[in-house]
Amino acid sequence: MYFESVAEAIYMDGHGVYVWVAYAIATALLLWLVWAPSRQLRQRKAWIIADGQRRASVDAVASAHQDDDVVSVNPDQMETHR
Amino acid sequence: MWSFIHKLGSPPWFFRFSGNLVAWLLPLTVALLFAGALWGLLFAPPDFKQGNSYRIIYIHVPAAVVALAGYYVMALAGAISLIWRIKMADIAMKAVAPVGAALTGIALVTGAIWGKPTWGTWWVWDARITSMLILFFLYLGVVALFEAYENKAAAAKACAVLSLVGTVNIPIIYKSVDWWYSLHQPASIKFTGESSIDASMLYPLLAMITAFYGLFALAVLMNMRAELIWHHRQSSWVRQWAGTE
Repeated sequence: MYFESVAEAIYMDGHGVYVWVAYAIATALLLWLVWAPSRQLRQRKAWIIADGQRRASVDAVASAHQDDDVVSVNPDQMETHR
Repeated sequence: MWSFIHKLGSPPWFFRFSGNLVAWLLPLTVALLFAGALWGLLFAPPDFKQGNSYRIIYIHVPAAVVALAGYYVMALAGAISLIWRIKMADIAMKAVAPVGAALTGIALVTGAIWGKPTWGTWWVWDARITSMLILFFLYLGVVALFEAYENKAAAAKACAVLSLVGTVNIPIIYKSVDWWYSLHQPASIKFTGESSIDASMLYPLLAMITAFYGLFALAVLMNMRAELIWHHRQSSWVRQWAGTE
């Protein structure tokens, strides 16, 4: 290491405040660059899963109604009408 | 080669391929960024004129270099979108813009911070800095244009035109320190001729430039993946990936 101590590395002969602030801002922006799309992907995946579950429940209700329709035109009732 | 380029246009193939690439690229980039930053901050010697403030070079220069290269990537995607109308090119263009804006922002902010102890001022309206600011607005313009249109095809066309027109600014940025009098120092690394930077400072800089290219690729791929699944959310391959089919 070039510096003799941690304090010297932080101070950097008076330039430390400029150097460390610049690195902190850059680190925050670089982290955001990776975090933002990974969060968006997670959120969109959750939406697709929720949408799939909603569709599945709508399909289940629709098929239940279809079964009811089949019952209403059952052969016994048709016999009575004859 | 052609079959690989052809495959890149297939959303399900690209999604799988980019997922594997991201899994490799993420640890490599983080390791290289960490090593390069530590090398530049703690192990490289100070500059004989600027002292330790020059250590900002290890984020300022890589951010600026990759922001310029990223603009060409966005313009190339724009050209492909205009000529062949490939949807994947629209998605790539949209994915590059915020990453390029962030990198240009880093270059501008770290440059301002570096300018204070070196030049005695945060900002000067000289050719290099002003043309970088224009690059920042061009990137933001593409981001804003994509959101401004309801019709996504029209948005992609407008963004492609803006990207292509903006390429005029890139050689101006690159040559500005030679063409005009500027406070900004000339390029330290030269492709032709000897670099004006000592090897002990050059190697960590090259490591950081490589790491920033890796991070650019990583962020663009991740943006493209998020965009792809949204575009194709009704497709069976997306629903299979999400585990709903």
